[in-house]
Amino acid sequence: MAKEALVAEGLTKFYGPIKALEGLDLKIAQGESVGLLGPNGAGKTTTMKIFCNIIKPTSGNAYINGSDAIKESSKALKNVGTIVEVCEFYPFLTPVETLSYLGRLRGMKKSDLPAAIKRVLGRVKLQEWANVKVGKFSKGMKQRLAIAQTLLHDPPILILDEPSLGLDPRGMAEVRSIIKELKREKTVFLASHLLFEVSETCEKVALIDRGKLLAFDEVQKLESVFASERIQVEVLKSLDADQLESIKSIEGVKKASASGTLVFIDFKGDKETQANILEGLMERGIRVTSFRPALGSLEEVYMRVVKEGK
Amino acid sequence: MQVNFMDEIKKLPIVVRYELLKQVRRFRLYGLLLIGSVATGLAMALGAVYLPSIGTLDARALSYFIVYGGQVSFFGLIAGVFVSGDAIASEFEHKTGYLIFPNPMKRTTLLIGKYLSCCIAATLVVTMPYLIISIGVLALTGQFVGELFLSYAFCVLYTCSIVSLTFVFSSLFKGTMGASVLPFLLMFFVFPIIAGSMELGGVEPFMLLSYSGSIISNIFIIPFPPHKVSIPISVGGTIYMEVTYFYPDVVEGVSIMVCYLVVGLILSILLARRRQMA
Repeated sequence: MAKEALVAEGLTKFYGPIKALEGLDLKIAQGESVGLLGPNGAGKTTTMKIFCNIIKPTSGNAYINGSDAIKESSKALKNVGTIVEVCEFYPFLTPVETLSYLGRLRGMKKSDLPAAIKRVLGRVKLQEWANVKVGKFSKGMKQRLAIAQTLLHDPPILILDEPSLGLDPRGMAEVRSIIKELKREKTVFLASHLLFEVSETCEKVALIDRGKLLAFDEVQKLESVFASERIQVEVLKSLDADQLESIKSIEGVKKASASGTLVFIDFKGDKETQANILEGLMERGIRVTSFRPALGSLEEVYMRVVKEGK
Repeated sequence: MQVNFMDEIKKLPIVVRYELLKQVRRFRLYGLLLIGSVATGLAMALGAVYLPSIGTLDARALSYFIVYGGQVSFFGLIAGVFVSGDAIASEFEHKTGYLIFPNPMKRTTLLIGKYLSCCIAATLVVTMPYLIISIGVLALTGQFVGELFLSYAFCVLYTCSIVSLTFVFSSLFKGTMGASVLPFLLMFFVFPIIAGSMELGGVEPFMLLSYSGSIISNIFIIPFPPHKVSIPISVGGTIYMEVTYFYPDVVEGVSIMVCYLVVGLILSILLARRRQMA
Protein backbone atom coordinates (compact mmCIF):
# COMPACT_ATOMS: atom_id res chain seq x y z
CA MET A 1 0.00 0.00 0.00
CA ALA A 2 1.33 3.43 -0.93
CA LYS A 3 2.47 5.65 1.90
CA GLU A 4 0.18 8.52 2.72
CA ALA A 5 1.29 11.94 1.54
CA LEU A 6 -1.46 13.92 3.22
CA VAL A 7 -3.57 12.90 6.20
CA ALA A 8 -6.33 14.80 7.97
CA GLU A 9 -7.39 13.33 11.30
CA GLY A 10 -10.57 14.67 12.84
CA LEU A 11 -9.85 18.19 11.61
CA THR A 12 -12.22 20.63 13.23
CA LYS A 13 -12.10 24.38 12.92
CA PHE A 14 -14.28 27.04 14.48
CA TYR A 15 -14.19 30.70 13.48
CA GLY A 16 -15.80 32.10 16.62
CA PRO A 17 -19.19 30.42 16.79
CA ILE A 18 -19.06 29.30 13.14
CA LYS A 19 -18.06 25.74 12.49
CA ALA A 20 -15.98 25.61 9.30
CA LEU A 21 -14.74 22.02 9.60
CA GLU A 22 -16.20 19.15 11.55
CA GLY A 23 -14.05 16.11 12.18
CA LEU A 24 -12.64 15.84 8.67
CA ASP A 25 -10.81 12.57 8.04
CA LEU A 26 -8.96 12.19 4.77
CA LYS A 27 -6.02 10.13 3.58
CA ILE A 28 -4.28 10.86 0.31
CA ALA A 29 -1.69 8.36 -0.83
CA GLN A 30 1.56 9.36 -2.51
CA GLY A 31 1.04 9.88 -6.21
CA GLU A 32 -2.71 10.34 -5.98
CA SER A 33 -4.49 13.34 -7.41
CA VAL A 34 -7.46 14.32 -5.30
CA GLY A 35 -9.96 17.09 -5.88
CA LEU A 36 -11.67 18.71 -2.92
CA LEU A 37 -15.12 19.77 -4.06
CA GLY A 38 -17.79 21.64 -2.21
CA PRO A 39 -20.02 24.70 -2.33
CA ASN A 40 -18.94 28.07 -0.95
CA GLY A 41 -18.30 27.85 2.78
CA ALA A 42 -17.94 24.06 2.67
CA GLY A 43 -14.51 24.15 4.32
CA LYS A 44 -12.25 23.63 1.29
CA THR A 45 -9.98 26.62 1.84
CA THR A 46 -9.95 26.07 5.60
CA THR A 47 -8.64 22.54 4.98
CA MET A 48 -5.98 23.84 2.62
CA LYS A 49 -4.94 26.59 5.05
CA ILE A 50 -4.47 24.09 7.86
CA PHE A 51 -2.21 21.92 5.69
CA CYS A 52 -0.24 25.04 4.76
CA ASN A 53 0.18 26.18 8.39
CA ILE A 54 -1.71 29.39 7.75
CA ILE A 55 -4.33 28.64 10.37
CA LYS A 56 -4.41 26.20 13.25
CA PRO A 57 -7.19 23.66 13.68
CA THR A 58 -9.40 23.89 16.77
CA SER A 59 -8.84 20.17 17.14
CA GLY A 60 -7.48 17.32 15.07
CA ASN A 61 -4.24 16.91 13.16
CA ALA A 62 -2.91 17.35 9.65
CA TYR A 63 0.14 15.47 8.43
CA ILE A 64 2.29 15.89 5.36
CA ASN A 65 4.54 12.91 4.64
CA GLY A 66 4.13 11.89 8.28
CA SER A 67 5.14 15.29 9.72
CA ASP A 68 2.66 17.37 11.68
CA ALA A 69 1.75 20.34 9.48
CA ILE A 70 1.37 22.63 12.49
CA LYS A 71 3.93 21.45 15.06
CA GLU A 72 6.63 20.52 12.53
CA SER A 73 5.67 22.97 9.80
CA SER A 74 9.22 23.57 8.54
CA LYS A 75 9.76 19.85 7.97
CA ALA A 76 6.24 19.23 6.68
CA LEU A 77 6.29 22.06 4.14
CA LYS A 78 9.78 21.39 2.83
CA ASN A 79 8.58 19.30 -0.08
CA VAL A 80 5.30 21.01 -0.81
CA GLY A 81 4.24 23.57 -3.38
CA THR A 82 1.21 25.62 -2.41
CA ILE A 83 -1.29 28.07 -3.76
CA VAL A 84 -3.76 29.36 -1.19
CA GLU A 85 -6.65 31.61 -2.16
CA VAL A 86 -5.71 34.50 -4.43
CA CYS A 87 -1.94 34.60 -4.18
CA GLU A 88 -0.53 38.11 -3.78
CA PHE A 89 3.07 39.09 -4.31
CA TYR A 90 5.39 41.82 -3.09
CA PRO A 91 4.83 44.58 -5.66
CA PHE A 92 8.39 45.93 -5.45
CA LEU A 93 10.02 42.68 -6.47
CA THR A 94 10.26 41.16 -9.95
CA PRO A 95 9.32 37.50 -10.66
CA VAL A 96 13.03 36.59 -10.73
CA GLU A 97 13.60 38.22 -7.34
CA THR A 98 10.44 36.72 -5.87
CA LEU A 99 11.32 33.24 -7.07
CA SER A 100 14.93 33.63 -5.90
CA TYR A 101 13.67 34.60 -2.44
CA LEU A 102 11.26 31.67 -2.22
CA GLY A 103 13.75 29.23 -3.73
CA ARG A 104 16.39 30.14 -1.16
CA LEU A 105 13.88 29.78 1.68
CA ARG A 106 13.02 26.33 0.35
CA GLY A 107 16.65 25.29 0.51
CA MET A 108 17.58 25.57 -3.15
CA LYS A 109 21.19 26.26 -4.04
CA LYS A 110 21.94 29.73 -5.37
CA SER A 111 23.63 28.21 -8.42
CA ASP A 112 20.53 26.12 -9.28
CA LEU A 113 18.13 29.04 -9.16
CA PRO A 114 18.64 30.73 -12.57
CA ALA A 115 17.90 27.52 -14.50
CA ALA A 116 14.94 26.59 -12.28
CA ILE A 117 13.47 30.09 -12.56
CA LYS A 118 13.86 30.09 -16.33
CA ARG A 119 12.17 26.68 -16.50
CA VAL A 120 9.12 27.59 -14.41
CA LEU A 121 8.64 31.04 -15.94
CA GLY A 122 8.76 29.41 -19.35
CA ARG A 123 6.20 26.87 -18.28
CA VAL A 124 3.70 29.56 -17.27
CA LYS A 125 4.67 31.81 -20.20
CA LEU A 126 6.04 34.69 -18.16
CA GLN A 127 9.60 34.77 -19.54
CA GLU A 128 9.17 38.23 -21.04
CA TRP A 129 8.02 39.61 -17.70
CA ALA A 130 10.84 38.06 -15.70
CA ASN A 131 12.37 41.38 -14.68
CA VAL A 132 9.27 43.56 -14.42
CA LYS A 133 8.01 44.47 -10.94
CA VAL A 134 5.01 42.35 -9.96
CA GLY A 135 3.09 45.51 -8.98
CA LYS A 136 2.42 46.01 -12.70
CA PHE A 137 0.97 42.51 -13.20
CA SER A 138 -2.67 41.66 -13.90
CA LYS A 139 -4.55 39.18 -11.73
CA GLY A 140 -4.07 36.45 -14.31
CA MET A 141 -0.34 37.07 -14.55
CA LYS A 142 -0.04 36.88 -10.77
CA GLN A 143 -1.87 33.57 -10.82
CA ARG A 144 0.60 32.27 -13.41
CA LEU A 145 3.43 33.38 -11.17
CA ALA A 146 1.70 31.64 -8.28
CA ILE A 147 1.78 28.40 -10.27
CA ALA A 148 5.42 28.99 -11.19
CA GLN A 149 6.43 29.36 -7.54
CA THR A 150 4.74 26.07 -6.61
CA LEU A 151 6.84 24.24 -9.20
CA LEU A 152 10.12 26.05 -8.52
CA HIS A 153 11.67 23.51 -6.13
CA ASP A 154 10.07 20.56 -7.93
CA PRO A 155 8.11 19.42 -4.87
CA PRO A 156 6.54 15.93 -4.80
CA ILE A 157 3.33 17.30 -3.24
CA LEU A 158 1.17 20.12 -4.56
CA ILE A 159 -1.58 21.74 -2.52
CA LEU A 160 -3.58 23.94 -4.85
CA ASP A 161 -6.51 26.06 -3.81
CA GLU A 162 -8.44 27.28 -6.85
CA PRO A 163 -5.34 27.33 -9.07
CA SER A 164 -7.11 28.70 -12.13
CA LEU A 165 -8.89 31.52 -10.35
CA GLY A 166 -8.60 34.79 -12.25
CA LEU A 167 -7.34 33.22 -15.45
CA ASP A 168 -8.97 33.60 -18.84
CA PRO A 169 -10.35 30.42 -20.52
CA ARG A 170 -7.08 29.81 -22.34
CA GLY A 171 -5.10 30.26 -19.13
CA MET A 172 -7.46 27.89 -17.31
CA ALA A 173 -6.95 25.25 -19.97
CA GLU A 174 -3.18 25.70 -19.73
CA VAL A 175 -3.28 25.30 -15.96
CA ARG A 176 -5.34 22.13 -16.27
CA SER A 177 -2.88 20.82 -18.80
CA ILE A 178 0.03 21.55 -16.40
CA ILE A 179 -1.75 19.80 -13.52
CA LYS A 180 -2.59 16.79 -15.69
CA GLU A 181 1.03 16.53 -16.63
CA LEU A 182 2.23 16.93 -13.04
CA LYS A 183 -0.14 14.40 -11.52
CA ARG A 184 1.76 11.60 -13.26
CA GLU A 185 4.68 12.10 -10.91
CA LYS A 186 3.33 14.11 -7.97
CA THR A 187 0.66 14.04 -5.31
CA VAL A 188 -1.91 16.70 -6.15
CA PHE A 189 -4.51 17.96 -3.68
CA LEU A 190 -6.68 20.48 -5.46
CA ALA A 191 -9.60 22.47 -4.08
CA SER A 192 -11.98 23.84 -6.61
CA HIS A 193 -15.58 24.73 -7.15
CA LEU A 194 -15.15 23.99 -10.86
CA LEU A 195 -16.45 20.47 -11.37
CA PHE A 196 -14.97 20.06 -14.81
CA GLU A 197 -11.58 21.12 -13.50
CA VAL A 198 -11.65 18.40 -10.86
CA SER A 199 -13.08 15.70 -13.14
CA GLU A 200 -10.49 16.51 -15.79
CA THR A 201 -7.44 16.71 -13.55
CA CYS A 202 -8.09 14.37 -10.60
CA GLU A 203 -8.51 10.64 -10.20
CA LYS A 204 -10.27 10.89 -6.87
CA VAL A 205 -12.68 13.38 -5.44
CA ALA A 206 -13.59 14.33 -1.88
CA LEU A 207 -16.95 16.01 -1.57
CA ILE A 208 -17.42 18.21 1.47
CA ASP A 209 -20.20 20.42 2.67
CA ARG A 210 -20.54 22.38 5.91
CA GLY A 211 -17.19 21.06 7.02
CA LYS A 212 -18.14 17.41 6.71
CA LEU A 213 -16.77 14.86 4.28
CA LEU A 214 -19.74 13.48 2.33
CA ALA A 215 -18.00 11.19 -0.13
CA PHE A 216 -14.44 10.24 -1.05
CA ASP A 217 -13.71 7.90 -3.91
CA GLU A 218 -12.50 7.65 -7.47
CA VAL A 219 -14.34 9.99 -9.80
CA GLN A 220 -15.52 7.14 -12.06
CA LYS A 221 -16.71 5.02 -9.13
CA LEU A 222 -18.70 7.87 -7.67
CA GLU A 223 -20.24 8.56 -11.04
CA SER A 224 -21.18 4.93 -11.55
CA VAL A 225 -22.55 4.48 -8.01
CA PHE A 226 -24.80 7.44 -8.40
CA ALA A 227 -25.71 6.46 -11.94
CA SER A 228 -26.73 2.92 -11.03
CA GLU A 229 -30.30 3.90 -10.37
CA ARG A 230 -30.80 5.63 -13.67
CA ILE A 231 -31.30 3.97 -17.03
CA GLN A 232 -30.76 5.57 -20.38
CA VAL A 233 -33.04 4.10 -23.05
CA GLU A 234 -32.87 4.90 -26.72
CA VAL A 235 -36.10 4.33 -28.59
CA LEU A 236 -36.87 4.12 -32.29
CA LYS A 237 -39.46 6.91 -32.25
CA SER A 238 -39.89 9.81 -29.84
CA LEU A 239 -42.48 9.03 -27.17
CA ASP A 240 -45.71 10.96 -26.77
CA ALA A 241 -46.93 12.21 -23.38
CA ASP A 242 -49.21 9.19 -22.80
CA GLN A 243 -46.42 6.72 -23.48
CA LEU A 244 -44.09 8.59 -21.12
CA GLU A 245 -46.82 8.64 -18.45
CA SER A 246 -47.42 4.93 -18.86
CA ILE A 247 -43.73 4.20 -18.14
CA LYS A 248 -44.17 5.65 -14.65
CA SER A 249 -46.71 2.91 -13.86
CA ILE A 250 -44.04 0.21 -14.26
CA GLU A 251 -43.11 -1.21 -10.89
CA GLY A 252 -39.97 0.39 -9.42
CA VAL A 253 -39.97 3.44 -11.73
CA LYS A 254 -39.72 6.74 -9.86
CA LYS A 255 -39.43 9.17 -12.70
CA ALA A 256 -39.24 9.22 -16.49
CA SER A 257 -38.22 12.01 -18.80
CA ALA A 258 -37.45 12.20 -22.48
CA SER A 259 -35.21 14.20 -24.75
CA GLY A 260 -35.84 13.31 -28.41
CA THR A 261 -35.36 9.59 -28.77
CA LEU A 262 -33.53 9.37 -25.44
CA VAL A 263 -35.56 8.37 -22.37
CA PHE A 264 -34.14 8.63 -18.84
CA ILE A 265 -35.75 6.41 -16.22
CA ASP A 266 -34.96 6.82 -12.51
CA PHE A 267 -35.83 3.71 -10.53
CA LYS A 268 -35.44 2.12 -7.13
CA GLY A 269 -34.32 -1.47 -7.12
CA ASP A 270 -31.81 -3.99 -8.40
CA LYS A 271 -31.05 -5.74 -11.70
CA GLU A 272 -34.34 -7.67 -11.44
CA THR A 273 -36.15 -4.33 -11.44
CA GLN A 274 -34.19 -3.26 -14.52
CA ALA A 275 -35.26 -6.43 -16.33
CA ASN A 276 -38.88 -5.75 -15.36
CA ILE A 277 -38.63 -2.21 -16.68
CA LEU A 278 -37.35 -3.50 -20.01
CA GLU A 279 -40.22 -5.99 -20.22
CA GLY A 280 -42.65 -3.21 -19.26
CA LEU A 281 -41.41 -1.07 -22.12
CA MET A 282 -41.89 -3.96 -24.57
CA GLU A 283 -45.40 -4.61 -23.26
CA ARG A 284 -46.29 -0.97 -23.91
CA GLY A 285 -45.17 -1.30 -27.51
CA ILE A 286 -42.16 0.92 -27.11
CA ARG A 287 -39.43 -0.18 -29.54
CA VAL A 288 -36.11 -0.04 -27.73
CA THR A 289 -32.83 0.24 -29.65
CA SER A 290 -30.54 0.45 -26.59
CA PHE A 291 -30.94 0.06 -22.85
CA ARG A 292 -28.13 0.81 -20.43
CA PRO A 293 -27.33 2.39 -17.06
CA ALA A 294 -26.85 6.11 -17.50
CA LEU A 295 -23.43 7.32 -16.36
CA GLY A 296 -23.93 10.44 -14.23
CA SER A 297 -21.56 13.33 -14.57
CA LEU A 298 -19.54 14.50 -11.59
CA GLU A 299 -21.86 17.47 -11.52
CA GLU A 300 -24.86 15.19 -10.91
CA VAL A 301 -22.97 13.32 -8.22
CA TYR A 302 -21.99 16.57 -6.60
CA MET A 303 -25.49 17.98 -6.63
CA ARG A 304 -27.01 14.79 -5.27
CA VAL A 305 -24.45 14.24 -2.54
CA VAL A 306 -24.54 17.83 -1.37
CA LYS A 307 -28.35 17.80 -1.45
CA GLU A 308 -28.56 14.53 0.47
CA GLY A 309 -25.89 15.76 2.88
CA LYS A 310 -28.17 18.59 3.88
CA MET B 1 16.34 19.95 16.91
CA GLN B 2 19.77 21.55 16.59
CA VAL B 3 19.71 20.91 12.85
CA ASN B 4 16.36 22.71 12.61
CA PHE B 5 17.77 25.64 14.57
CA MET B 6 20.76 25.87 12.23
CA ASP B 7 18.42 25.72 9.23
CA GLU B 8 16.49 28.67 10.62
CA ILE B 9 19.70 30.62 11.28
CA LYS B 10 20.74 30.06 7.66
CA LYS B 11 17.44 31.46 6.45
CA LEU B 12 17.73 34.64 8.48
CA PRO B 13 20.16 36.49 6.16
CA ILE B 14 18.01 35.48 3.19
CA VAL B 15 14.95 37.11 4.77
CA VAL B 16 16.97 40.19 5.76
CA ARG B 17 18.35 40.56 2.25
CA TYR B 18 15.02 40.41 0.43
CA GLU B 19 13.15 42.44 3.04
CA LEU B 20 15.85 45.09 2.72
CA LEU B 21 15.48 44.94 -1.06
CA LYS B 22 11.78 45.68 -0.59
CA GLN B 23 12.66 48.68 1.61
CA VAL B 24 15.20 50.00 -0.89
CA ARG B 25 12.65 49.80 -3.71
CA ARG B 26 10.17 52.00 -1.87
CA PHE B 27 9.98 55.76 -2.38
CA ARG B 28 9.33 56.36 1.31
CA LEU B 29 12.92 55.51 2.22
CA TYR B 30 14.25 58.15 -0.15
CA GLY B 31 11.62 60.62 1.05
CA LEU B 32 12.76 60.12 4.63
CA LEU B 33 16.42 60.51 3.64
CA LEU B 34 15.62 63.73 1.79
CA ILE B 35 13.56 65.23 4.62
CA GLY B 36 16.21 64.31 7.19
CA SER B 37 18.97 65.84 5.09
CA VAL B 38 17.09 69.06 4.35
CA ALA B 39 16.03 69.55 7.98
CA THR B 40 19.55 68.91 9.27
CA GLY B 41 21.01 71.27 6.69
CA LEU B 42 18.51 73.94 7.73
CA ALA B 43 19.30 73.49 11.43
CA MET B 44 23.00 73.76 10.65
CA ALA B 45 22.51 76.98 8.67
CA LEU B 46 20.49 78.48 11.53
CA GLY B 47 23.16 77.42 14.01
CA ALA B 48 25.87 78.99 11.89
CA VAL B 49 23.89 82.26 11.81
CA TYR B 50 22.71 82.51 15.43
CA LEU B 51 25.48 80.94 17.50
CA PRO B 52 28.26 83.48 16.61
CA SER B 53 25.97 86.26 17.84
CA ILE B 54 26.14 84.72 21.32
CA GLY B 55 29.83 83.94 20.90
CA THR B 56 29.60 80.15 21.02
CA LEU B 57 30.28 78.79 17.54
CA ASP B 58 32.36 75.83 18.60
CA ALA B 59 31.95 72.21 17.56
CA ARG B 60 30.12 71.07 20.72
CA ALA B 61 27.65 73.97 20.76
CA LEU B 62 26.92 73.62 17.06
CA SER B 63 26.46 69.84 17.36
CA TYR B 64 24.05 70.30 20.27
CA PHE B 65 22.21 73.06 18.41
CA ILE B 66 21.66 70.84 15.36
CA VAL B 67 20.86 67.60 17.20
CA TYR B 68 18.50 69.27 19.67
CA GLY B 69 17.15 72.08 17.50
CA GLY B 70 17.06 69.96 14.36
CA GLN B 71 15.12 67.29 16.26
CA VAL B 72 17.29 64.47 14.95
CA SER B 73 15.58 62.01 17.34
CA PHE B 74 12.33 62.91 15.58
CA PHE B 75 13.74 61.37 12.40
CA GLY B 76 14.47 58.25 14.39
CA LEU B 77 10.81 58.16 15.30
CA ILE B 78 9.40 58.74 11.83
CA ALA B 79 11.97 56.45 10.22
CA GLY B 80 11.21 53.66 12.69
CA VAL B 81 7.46 53.95 12.23
CA PHE B 82 7.42 54.45 8.47
CA VAL B 83 9.70 51.56 7.59
CA SER B 84 8.15 49.07 10.00
CA GLY B 85 4.45 49.97 10.33
CA ASP B 86 3.46 47.65 7.52
CA ALA B 87 6.13 44.99 8.05
CA ILE B 88 3.79 42.41 9.56
CA ALA B 89 0.35 43.93 9.09
CA SER B 90 0.72 44.07 5.31
CA GLU B 91 1.27 40.30 5.11
CA PHE B 92 -2.30 39.99 6.37
CA GLU B 93 -3.82 43.09 4.79
CA HIS B 94 -2.39 42.53 1.31
CA LYS B 95 -2.54 38.72 1.60
CA THR B 96 1.15 38.24 0.81
CA GLY B 97 1.15 35.96 3.86
CA TYR B 98 -0.42 33.28 1.66
CA LEU B 99 2.82 33.33 -0.31
CA ILE B 100 5.37 33.59 2.48
CA PHE B 101 3.88 31.64 5.40
CA PRO B 102 3.60 28.22 3.66
CA ASN B 103 7.37 27.95 3.39
CA PRO B 104 9.66 25.68 5.40
CA MET B 105 10.59 28.42 7.84
CA LYS B 106 9.47 29.35 11.34
CA ARG B 107 7.39 32.47 11.57
CA THR B 108 9.82 33.68 14.25
CA THR B 109 12.66 33.58 11.71
CA LEU B 110 10.61 35.63 9.28
CA LEU B 111 9.79 38.20 11.95
CA ILE B 112 13.35 38.55 13.19
CA GLY B 113 14.52 38.91 9.58
CA LYS B 114 11.93 41.60 8.99
CA TYR B 115 12.92 43.32 12.22
CA LEU B 116 16.59 43.42 11.29
CA SER B 117 15.88 44.77 7.82
CA CYS B 118 13.62 47.49 9.24
CA CYS B 119 16.32 48.44 11.75
CA ILE B 120 18.92 48.63 8.99
CA ALA B 121 16.64 50.80 6.80
CA ALA B 122 15.70 53.11 9.70
CA THR B 123 19.35 53.37 10.78
CA LEU B 124 20.21 54.43 7.24
CA VAL B 125 17.72 57.29 7.58
CA VAL B 126 19.21 58.58 10.86
CA THR B 127 22.75 58.09 9.62
CA MET B 128 22.34 60.73 6.94
CA PRO B 129 21.73 63.67 9.38
CA TYR B 130 24.73 62.59 11.46
CA LEU B 131 26.91 62.43 8.37
CA ILE B 132 25.81 65.93 7.43
CA ILE B 133 26.39 67.19 10.99
CA SER B 134 29.88 65.63 11.14
CA ILE B 135 30.97 67.10 7.83
CA GLY B 136 29.27 70.46 8.46
CA VAL B 137 30.63 70.93 11.97
CA LEU B 138 34.12 70.03 10.82
CA ALA B 139 33.86 72.45 7.90
CA LEU B 140 32.48 75.33 9.98
CA THR B 141 34.58 74.99 13.12
CA GLY B 142 37.55 72.86 12.07
CA GLN B 143 36.80 70.66 15.10
CA PHE B 144 35.02 67.43 15.81
CA VAL B 145 33.39 66.23 19.03
CA GLY B 146 33.54 62.60 20.08
CA GLU B 147 30.08 62.82 21.68
CA LEU B 148 28.66 62.92 18.18
CA PHE B 149 29.42 59.18 17.95
CA LEU B 150 27.67 58.56 21.25
CA SER B 151 24.69 60.65 20.20
CA TYR B 152 24.52 58.68 16.97
CA ALA B 153 24.68 55.36 18.85
CA PHE B 154 21.86 56.47 21.17
CA CYS B 155 19.82 57.64 18.20
CA VAL B 156 20.25 54.29 16.45
CA LEU B 157 19.23 52.45 19.63
CA TYR B 158 16.25 54.78 20.06
CA THR B 159 15.22 54.16 16.42
CA CYS B 160 15.45 50.38 16.87
CA SER B 161 13.28 50.68 20.00
CA ILE B 162 10.72 52.58 17.95
CA VAL B 163 10.82 49.77 15.38
CA SER B 164 10.13 47.26 18.19
CA LEU B 165 7.23 49.32 19.49
CA THR B 166 5.80 49.66 15.98
CA PHE B 167 6.20 45.91 15.42
CA VAL B 168 3.87 45.27 18.37
CA PHE B 169 1.13 47.26 16.65
CA SER B 170 1.98 45.79 13.27
CA SER B 171 1.49 42.27 14.59
CA LEU B 172 -1.69 43.27 16.37
CA PHE B 173 -3.54 45.18 13.66
CA LYS B 174 -4.80 43.96 10.34
CA GLY B 175 -4.39 47.35 8.67
CA THR B 176 -1.08 49.08 8.12
CA MET B 177 -2.69 52.45 8.82
CA GLY B 178 -3.52 51.62 12.43
CA ALA B 179 -0.13 50.02 12.94
CA SER B 180 1.58 53.23 11.77
CA VAL B 181 -0.66 55.83 13.40
CA LEU B 182 -0.72 54.37 16.91
CA PRO B 183 3.02 54.61 17.61
CA PHE B 184 2.86 58.29 16.60
CA LEU B 185 -0.13 58.84 18.88
CA LEU B 186 1.74 57.20 21.72
CA MET B 187 4.95 59.14 21.22
CA PHE B 188 3.38 62.53 20.46
CA PHE B 189 0.33 62.58 22.72
CA VAL B 190 -0.03 59.73 25.18
CA PHE B 191 3.56 59.55 26.47
CA PRO B 192 4.01 63.36 26.77
CA ILE B 193 0.70 63.65 28.67
CA ILE B 194 1.76 60.86 31.06
CA ALA B 195 5.26 62.33 31.40
CA GLY B 196 3.93 65.84 32.06
CA SER B 197 1.47 64.64 34.68
CA MET B 198 4.04 62.48 36.43
CA GLU B 199 6.64 65.24 36.50
CA LEU B 200 4.14 67.70 37.97
CA GLY B 201 3.49 65.12 40.64
CA GLY B 202 7.22 64.82 41.25
CA VAL B 203 7.44 61.28 39.89
CA GLU B 204 10.04 60.27 37.31
CA PRO B 205 8.45 58.93 34.08
CA PHE B 206 11.11 56.26 33.81
CA MET B 207 8.88 53.84 31.90
CA LEU B 208 8.43 56.04 28.83
CA LEU B 209 10.47 55.64 25.67
CA SER B 210 10.03 59.31 24.79
CA TYR B 211 11.64 60.21 28.14
CA SER B 212 14.76 58.22 27.34
CA GLY B 213 15.27 60.03 24.01
CA SER B 214 16.63 63.17 25.68
CA ILE B 215 20.06 61.55 26.14
CA ILE B 216 20.56 61.84 22.36
CA SER B 217 21.07 65.62 22.68
CA ASN B 218 21.94 65.94 26.38
CA ILE B 219 25.17 64.01 25.82
CA PHE B 220 26.70 67.25 24.45
CA ILE B 221 26.00 69.20 27.65
CA ILE B 222 28.84 69.61 30.18
CA PRO B 223 28.21 68.78 32.93
CA PHE B 224 25.48 66.31 32.04
CA PRO B 225 22.09 67.65 33.26
CA PRO B 226 21.22 66.65 36.85
CA HIS B 227 18.76 63.81 37.26
CA LYS B 228 16.20 66.03 38.95
CA VAL B 229 15.63 69.78 38.72
CA SER B 230 12.92 71.47 40.78
CA ILE B 231 11.84 75.01 39.96
CA PRO B 232 9.29 76.97 41.94
CA ILE B 233 6.90 78.81 39.65
CA SER B 234 4.33 81.40 40.57
CA VAL B 235 0.75 80.40 39.90
CA GLY B 236 -0.70 83.69 41.10
CA GLY B 237 0.52 86.29 43.59
CA THR B 238 2.58 84.72 46.32
CA ILE B 239 1.41 81.20 45.61
CA TYR B 240 4.25 79.07 44.33
CA MET B 241 4.24 75.62 42.90
CA GLU B 242 7.29 73.44 42.57
CA VAL B 243 7.72 71.96 39.12
CA THR B 244 10.15 69.10 38.74
CA TYR B 245 11.96 68.14 35.57
CA PHE B 246 13.66 64.80 35.23
CA TYR B 247 16.54 63.95 32.95
CA PRO B 248 17.60 60.36 32.54
CA ASP B 249 21.32 59.71 32.81
CA VAL B 250 23.03 57.72 30.06
CA VAL B 251 22.69 54.34 31.78
CA GLU B 252 19.03 54.87 32.57
CA GLY B 253 18.24 56.20 29.09
CA VAL B 254 19.99 53.29 27.39
CA SER B 255 18.29 50.80 29.74
CA ILE B 256 14.82 52.14 28.90
CA MET B 257 15.57 51.90 25.17
CA VAL B 258 16.93 48.36 25.49
CA CYS B 259 13.84 47.34 27.49
CA TYR B 260 11.51 48.66 24.79
CA LEU B 261 13.61 47.01 22.11
CA VAL B 262 13.67 43.56 23.72
CA VAL B 263 10.15 43.49 25.18
CA GLY B 264 8.62 44.97 22.03
CA LEU B 265 10.34 42.45 19.79
CA ILE B 266 9.41 39.45 21.96
CA LEU B 267 5.82 40.65 22.29
CA SER B 268 5.46 41.19 18.55
CA ILE B 269 6.85 37.72 17.84
CA LEU B 270 4.42 36.12 20.29
CA LEU B 271 1.48 38.04 18.82
CA ALA B 272 2.39 37.37 15.20
CA ARG B 273 2.98 33.66 15.83
CA ARG B 274 -0.51 33.30 17.23
CA ARG B 275 -2.12 35.28 14.46
CA GLN B 276 -4.00 33.42 11.77
CA MET B 277 -4.99 34.35 8.23
CA ALA B 278 -8.65 33.45 8.44
